[in-house]
Parts: sequence; structure tokens; C-alpha cells
Amino acid sequence: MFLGYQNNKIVLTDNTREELENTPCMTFDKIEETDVNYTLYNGEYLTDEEVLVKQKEARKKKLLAELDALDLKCIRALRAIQAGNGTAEDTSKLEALEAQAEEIRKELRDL
Amino acid sequence: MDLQPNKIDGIFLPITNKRISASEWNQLVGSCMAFITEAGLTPDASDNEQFLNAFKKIAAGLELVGANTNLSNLTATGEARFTTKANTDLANVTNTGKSTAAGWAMPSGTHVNLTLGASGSTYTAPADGWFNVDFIATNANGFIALYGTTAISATANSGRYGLAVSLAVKKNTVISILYGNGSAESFKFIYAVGSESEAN
Repeated sequence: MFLGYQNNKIVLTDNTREELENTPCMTFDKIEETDVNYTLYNGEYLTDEEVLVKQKEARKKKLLAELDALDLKCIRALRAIQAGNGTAEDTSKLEALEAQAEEIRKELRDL
Repeated sequence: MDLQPNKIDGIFLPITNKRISASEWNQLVGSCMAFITEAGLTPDASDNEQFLNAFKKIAAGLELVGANTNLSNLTATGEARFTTKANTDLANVTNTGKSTAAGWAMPSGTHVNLTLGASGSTYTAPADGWFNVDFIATNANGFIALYGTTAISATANSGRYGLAVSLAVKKNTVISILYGNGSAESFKFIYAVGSESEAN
């Protein structure tokens, strides 16, 4: 794999040096050959390991947001129980939400 | 007549970077005679002033010998000659000519497909035309922005993930493209009609 650089940043990859040199409308400060595999991930070229880290970070961010959303869903039932007006339905709802939250927390621990 | 290379009586002739050859001189004399005839004058090869005036008209390319200020006395031949030559201000361009010129600055059907590199990559325009990106955002935070002499950008939202942007550029303009949360479905340079001949 060949890497095309602009301002010391990898901006394009290709199979051969010639293909990079003949890329329409693009010029490169330097072209380097590498054995490492690079993938375009969200606008930047990353190694497979870096992609994995980015994907984990993105997943973690999404799971934390889901936990926040579950917390919000608990509020009404918790308020009712706190005020002494809670029903069996409120309790089962809280249990279901807690089960979902526990699944998410488990996935977060495994990341 | 006191002739200097390419210059007569302070008026530069529409011939540059070379001396006037004998055949070119004869052509100019012939043109002057035609102008003088169109103006209804009697051609007189020995009348230097008449010839110098005709040369000035040719060099300026604007009017015919003998035309009045309203140009109401032009002969049919003279009028045709006058209206088929644009002046330097392009003030006498016909509607057809204006339409043609406007069309040259419009997008043609000729394009070259490009590859969108990493965000922040730069691209050089191969001719006058447009960089065009059809971008598909992967979520509501997707965006794309093209920066050249001018700029254009588009952002996704929960109801719109397909973003299409075009940036007009002159030849050799370097643009940069920033984007995130998405990828290009197509990226191309579209030649202006007047620049189609520069496409390989």
C-alpha cells in the first residue's frame, strides 16, 4: 500500500505509486510505501488498531447516552414511589429499565 | 507616410510582435480602400491623411470612415461589418453573443471523477468549472465544507442525510474539503462549457 501525504498528513492511499501520482486534481508532498493497512475512517486514514480504538470510543459514547436516556425514563416512576403513590406497574417498569441498564453497563465493562 | 513598425501616427496596428510584411501592407491598404469606399469617399492612394484615418479606424476596430455620430449613415455593408465586430468594452455584443458568452460560463456535460481523500485534503482545479460532491452523512452530525476563493457547506440533520454541494472555481484554484460523519457517494470536477477543451 502507498500513502499520499499533504502537510505531513495521510490524505489518500492506493495500491501503487503510479496510481497516486496520477490522481486527478491532487498533488502530494510525499508518497511512502507501507506494509501497514490504512482505512479511511470518518475523514481520516487510520491503522486497523486505531480504527478499533475509535470504534470502541464511539460505542462507549453511544452506550453512555443510552444510560442517560434510561435514567430519564425512570424519573416518573421513582417520583411516584417516593411520594407513596407507586403502583406495581411502576415497580415492574423500574425493574425492566434496570435490567436494560445492567446489560449496557456490562457491555461498557467489556469494552 | 512615415511608417514605424506596427505603429502609425501613435495608433498601434492590430499586428503585434513583428514588422509589417509587404503582403500585410497590401492587405491593410486593401482594407483601407474598402473602408473609404464604404464611407462613400473617392479612393485616393496618394491621400496620406485619408489613409491614416482609415488605419486608425481599423486599429480601433470601432467605426467606419465617414460615419456620423449616430451611425445613421452607415452603408449596409458597413453596418454588417460594424455589428460583427465587438468593441473593447463589449458594448455592442448582440443578444446572441451575450447568450453564447453566458453559456461558456455554465457547467458542461464533461467531468472527471475524483477520489475524496481525508478531511482537509486539497485539490487543484484543472480548468474553470465546479467541484461537486454528493455526500451521504452517517448521522445527524454529518457535514461537508468546500473552501476555495469562495466557500460552501452543508450539514445533516435528523431528516436529511444526503448533502450535495458544488463550488465554482477558476483554473488552478486550490480548494480544501473538510467533512465528518459520512462519505462521498460521488466526487467530480465539472468543466465549464468554455473550458471543455481542457479535459483530457
